[in-house]
Amino acid sequence: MRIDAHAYTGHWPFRQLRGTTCRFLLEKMDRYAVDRSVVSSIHGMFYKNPQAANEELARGAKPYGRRFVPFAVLNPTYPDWKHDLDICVRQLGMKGLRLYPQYHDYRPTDDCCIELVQAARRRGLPVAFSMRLIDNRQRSWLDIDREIALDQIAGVVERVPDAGYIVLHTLFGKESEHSAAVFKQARVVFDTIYGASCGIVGPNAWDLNQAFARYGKEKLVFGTAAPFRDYVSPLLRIELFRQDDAGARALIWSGNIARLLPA
Amino acid sequence: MVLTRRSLLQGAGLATAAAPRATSLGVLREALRYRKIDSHNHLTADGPRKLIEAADLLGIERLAVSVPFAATPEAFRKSNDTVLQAMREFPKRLLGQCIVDPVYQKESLAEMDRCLDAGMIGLGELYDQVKISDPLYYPIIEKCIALKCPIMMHARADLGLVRKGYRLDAPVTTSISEDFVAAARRYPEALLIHGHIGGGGDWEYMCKTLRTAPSVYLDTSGSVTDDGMIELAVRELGVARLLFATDLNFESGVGKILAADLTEAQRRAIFWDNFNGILSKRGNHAN
Repeated sequence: MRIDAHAYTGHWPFRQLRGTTCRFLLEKMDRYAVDRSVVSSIHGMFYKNPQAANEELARGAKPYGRRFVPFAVLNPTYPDWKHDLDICVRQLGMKGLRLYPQYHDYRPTDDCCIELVQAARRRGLPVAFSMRLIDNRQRSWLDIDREIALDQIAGVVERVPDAGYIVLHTLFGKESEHSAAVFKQARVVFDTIYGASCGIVGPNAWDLNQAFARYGKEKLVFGTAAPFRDYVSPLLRIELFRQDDAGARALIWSGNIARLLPA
Repeated sequence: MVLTRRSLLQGAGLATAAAPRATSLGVLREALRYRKIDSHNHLTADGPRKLIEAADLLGIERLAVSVPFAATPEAFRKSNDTVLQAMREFPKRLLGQCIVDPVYQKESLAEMDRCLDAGMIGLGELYDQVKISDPLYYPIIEKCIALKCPIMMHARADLGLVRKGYRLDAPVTTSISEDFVAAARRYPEALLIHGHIGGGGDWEYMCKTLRTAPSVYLDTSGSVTDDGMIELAVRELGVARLLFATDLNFESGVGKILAADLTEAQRRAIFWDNFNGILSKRGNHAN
């Protein structure tokens, strides 16, 4: 079983993405034998009111049943998000949230965000934060140039410690010891999009083996960041990871993310 | 069992098999089907053995390596000595690249003689002390032309480097694609290699700019693995100008080529043939 914890549909305003639909993702999944993908709409990052993007996603994913695990994008600075959350869960079948403080212009530890995370926890929904969407060096002049730090996410975890969390575009290396200790105790997983498993760690990357040793076997998850990133590198790094330990790989492929997702 | 190119080919006899589509269980197997020369890599503090072990996991036969970032002639000689020592340790695997600093003209030209005579394949990874189009580089480029050796240089296309008024995260002397175009116009016979399409800058900008300089090669390394990047480079530049490289990002270096919509011949050209062809000009190629 392989679950991609990190996929998207929709257009990115600053560069053409070749696949913008669930159908495109499904072709990739079938070609590379990925069973399910956790997916959200890119559009939701840019709409002030992201609910229309959630509706688009729900319509696009519905024909494919359990192959897609739709996550809603919500903006806690905008009116009536509680109603939207209710619609997302009851009518649209959303199984989690992805929040974009950097695009909706708030801090992860702002009260509005904490309130949203608490609401998600009450409904059993995991909450995902993405540290970045692209490498800032290649950004458009119209795009933002700030990222979310792991320490900021740890600040949210401290305030809502019993929620489930997914960190996307994870970049280890700058988190404090305190944050690391918070993460070790929490229901949090980190995607492996910038991980290196072959023993050599290049620029803007981190060592999967070290992270595995530091945070334990239940913290890392497979994710592709499709359609932003190439689909093969994420598969390759997990195939290379601890080739003599199929159990550890199975947790990364699907076990760790499956534990966080609602039934 | 750890899958290696050797065990794969010995076990499955796939050396000449037709290309199957990769599957979830097979992207590593797929990766090991191709011979590869990494045209841009580095020695690290861990030493060359660890680099070779990582290369073995992905079937990379040969690696062009350097130790960049030297500020004085003494420092660049020391860096190059490290590379020469590693070449002696792994003569069939490591291809040495010599670093120089054109600010120290006389010392740089002498260092080129020393390193190329000792078996290095060319210059690289030249860094950001001086742009590739700066006249200080002219004697060095001319010497490389005479010796038929390539020049691989760090390059970026960060927003702050290519448009004024935006945050600058790199020295203003960092070469951008326009600098390679200028150098190539002056020296069309030079073997100029523009470093890392995925080095973090705007790769569409790089490709659109380099299109007008047909003698400039572009290596595929860097941590950025955006979908469609390699295909756009093939479309804008032609496959013959792309050189496989990882710059220490091994998995994504290989993965981005396998993920791209390329023919079997295009994959082989990028992974092996193109850089091997450059090496053949000085007799440094592999059969």
